[in-house]
Amino acid sequence: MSEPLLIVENLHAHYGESHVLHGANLTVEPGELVTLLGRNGSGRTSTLRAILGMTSSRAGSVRIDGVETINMATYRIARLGIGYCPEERGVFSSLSAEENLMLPPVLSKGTTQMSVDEIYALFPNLAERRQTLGSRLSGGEQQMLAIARVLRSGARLLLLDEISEGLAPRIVEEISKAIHLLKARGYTILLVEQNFEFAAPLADRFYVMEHGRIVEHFAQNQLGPKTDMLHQLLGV
Amino acid sequence: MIAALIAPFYVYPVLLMKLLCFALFACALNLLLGYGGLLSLGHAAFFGSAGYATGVALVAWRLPFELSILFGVIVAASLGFVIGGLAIRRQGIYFAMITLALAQMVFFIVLQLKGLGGEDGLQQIPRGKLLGIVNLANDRSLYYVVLAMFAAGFWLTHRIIHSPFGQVLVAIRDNEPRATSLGYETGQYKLIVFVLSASIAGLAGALKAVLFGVVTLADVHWHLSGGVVLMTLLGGLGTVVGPIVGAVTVVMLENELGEFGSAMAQWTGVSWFGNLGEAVTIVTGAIFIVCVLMFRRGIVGELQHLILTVRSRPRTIQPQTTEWVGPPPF
Amino acid sequence: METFFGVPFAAIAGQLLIGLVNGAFYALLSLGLSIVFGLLNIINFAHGAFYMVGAYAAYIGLTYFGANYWAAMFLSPLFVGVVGMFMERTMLRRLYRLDHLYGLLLTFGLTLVTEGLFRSFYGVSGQPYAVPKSLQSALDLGFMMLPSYRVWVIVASVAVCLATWLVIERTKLGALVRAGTENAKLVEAFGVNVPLMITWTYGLGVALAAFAGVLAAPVFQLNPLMGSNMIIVVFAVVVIGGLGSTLGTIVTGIGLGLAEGLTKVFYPEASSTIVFLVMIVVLLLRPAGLFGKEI
Repeated sequence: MSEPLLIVENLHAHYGESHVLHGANLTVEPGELVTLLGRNGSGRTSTLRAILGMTSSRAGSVRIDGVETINMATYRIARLGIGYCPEERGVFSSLSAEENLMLPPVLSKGTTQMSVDEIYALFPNLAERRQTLGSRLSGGEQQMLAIARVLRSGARLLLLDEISEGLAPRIVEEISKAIHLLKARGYTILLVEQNFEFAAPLADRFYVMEHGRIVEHFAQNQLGPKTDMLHQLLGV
Repeated sequence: MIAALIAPFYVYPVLLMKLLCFALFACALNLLLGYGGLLSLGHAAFFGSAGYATGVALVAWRLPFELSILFGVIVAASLGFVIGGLAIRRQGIYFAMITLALAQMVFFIVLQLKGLGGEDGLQQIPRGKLLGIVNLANDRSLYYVVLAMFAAGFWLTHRIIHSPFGQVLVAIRDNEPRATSLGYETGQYKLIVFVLSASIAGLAGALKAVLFGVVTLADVHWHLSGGVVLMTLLGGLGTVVGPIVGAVTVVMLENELGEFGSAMAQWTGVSWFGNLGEAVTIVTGAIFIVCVLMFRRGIVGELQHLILTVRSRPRTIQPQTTEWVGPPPF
Repeated sequence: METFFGVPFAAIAGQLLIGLVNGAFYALLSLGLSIVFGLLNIINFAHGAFYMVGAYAAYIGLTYFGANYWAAMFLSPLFVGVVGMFMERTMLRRLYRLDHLYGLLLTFGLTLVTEGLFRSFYGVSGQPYAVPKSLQSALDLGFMMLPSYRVWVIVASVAVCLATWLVIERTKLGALVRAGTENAKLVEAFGVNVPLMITWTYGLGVALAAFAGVLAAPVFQLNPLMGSNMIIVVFAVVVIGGLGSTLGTIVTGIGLGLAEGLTKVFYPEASSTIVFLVMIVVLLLRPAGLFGKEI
């Protein structure tokens, strides 16, 4: 039984005076897709940021591939093989689409590293718009670019924040297909989602967060009986 | 209070008045920076221009004391309106740069204006009489007048801080977008506090001009603008008495640095310390650096913090926190 | 003799040349300042002090070590760059989590200390620095004499500015810096050692200032106060040009130098304040600056 790729234990995090995570616990096995559900403000984004050490302070334990990272600088944590797609997508507006794509350094050249050609095959829209300035890309294109960026870097563990948010259903379909593909290729994914319909068919396991803590945890095959509780909790 | 009233009988009144002037100057800046969150790097422009205006009124136009001081304040207020109005068009760091640049412009204008004495400045400014009766050439008499004006200026800043206006100001300082979304015209508030701060700084400058009878380019120089920021920072930004403490510390330091240097030279046997008196700029800069790196709350702020931590119970979780000035980046 | 609005053509040309030289310095200095500000979010008040130290390093190099102008041109920015990186690492780094104002105040304090130290060693009357022999000639243009050194200053500054622009806008490294200017934390989340990048950027920025200082030594001569007189005008240049466009900053610097030169010809009293006047006009009409991007 191999160790989980990501083990988060009793994670606390602050933004200045604001205590946003109150002892979160979760694990992600290699090759899994785990979804973090919860209402706005429940601490899901903060969890992803805290894993990367991007909050102003944190305490607890975050083990990535067996390495304790709680005292590491953000860039060292990232170099362990993490790819991050932030909620705001983070496409740099003064760089072209291609410059954005090529910006992250290649972290490793294993099975999860995609070449530029493969990426353009997966996201043909990006190939067309490669010279366009980041600020001129549509929401959907920006989201695809954000995902494409981390695929080129060879990250194994993807932290994806609200990747279906604010996008047209057709584009959400495309992204969903892309995620399926990534899963098949062996990526490990921690997905933060508001959109239950988007996350449900993709995830192996579900965590539910409230007030900076994990309050529910169940697998894909336990989903049925939980749907009512989820509707209540998430206000769907 | 009582100490302030009997002080001139024990301590050299001119020194006391100098302290009062700079304390008032620092209070004015504290209003703008500590409570308004706006850094002006050109506040000497208001201090000095009021001094020059008052000087000209007393020397060239022979206006009575009260009117001359009033004229100085009005000049400072008007200048504050113009500079403030231009500076608030940009935020944060640009605001500071603009105040610096415009104050420098004032410096050059003062340097070149005929009648202001150029490099020599205005000399032999008479003190005149208060209300035509009290002879202000007497240091003690002037002291009580300066004290009264300081008290008035200080009271005014106090009233502003503790008024609804002051509360909106702090709200704007902490989170301007939220204040705007609540319907406040943040630009107006910022301009008003800027003009008020400029006026009070002007009052301080006008009084200093009368006190020493001389106004020079040093009074509009950016070194002085930096100096008053240091006084406020050292004393404690956003505290009520902080600026007074800071001003007293810095002025006394500058005055006594020479003697301190000689004492240090004798004590340590290192003769270089004897030159400390000339090293005012260096020491001021060094204190600035130390303050910004390690001592941001200032003297009064640190004391307040000490009292608070002694009183409150320790929390269960104490992670390594860093100061965050601004809203959390959700 | 030809005149233009009653002023001899030669006089105009002469002042324009001086203005171009000044503009070259404004461009170099505001470029360094805006690079540092873009990535570090700190207004480096010490920029003027580094410029001054760069000039004095050339002087000290010549006086005590016999290092000539050309050696100084290379060594002085190197030395100042290292000093700058040391200061960033030990002092500035602690202030990034705080309000930008603290960075400005710290560098302000650094300026006071540096200027005070140099003033106590070198006084206020200044030191001379000779124009290097190879550039001591002058070209006779008929209506005026064109000193070679001034031409060199303009050419060298523009070359360095353009080289910097090239690196920033057309290289991978420059892309990292531009991205870091927008969102440094996200760039770090990609595994880029952003803290190191910031240190190097600060070093490069102040090295640019020192380079300007070496260029300035034979023209303006040396004076411990040469930095602060310059830096306040450069601040105004940065406000006028706006941040976000490398080329815009360069163009604004040169343009304002020329404006100053022209003012000297037609209305000399305003020459020391013309830059500030332009700043006022720009603030009223286009608050983000001529080439600035709306934040």
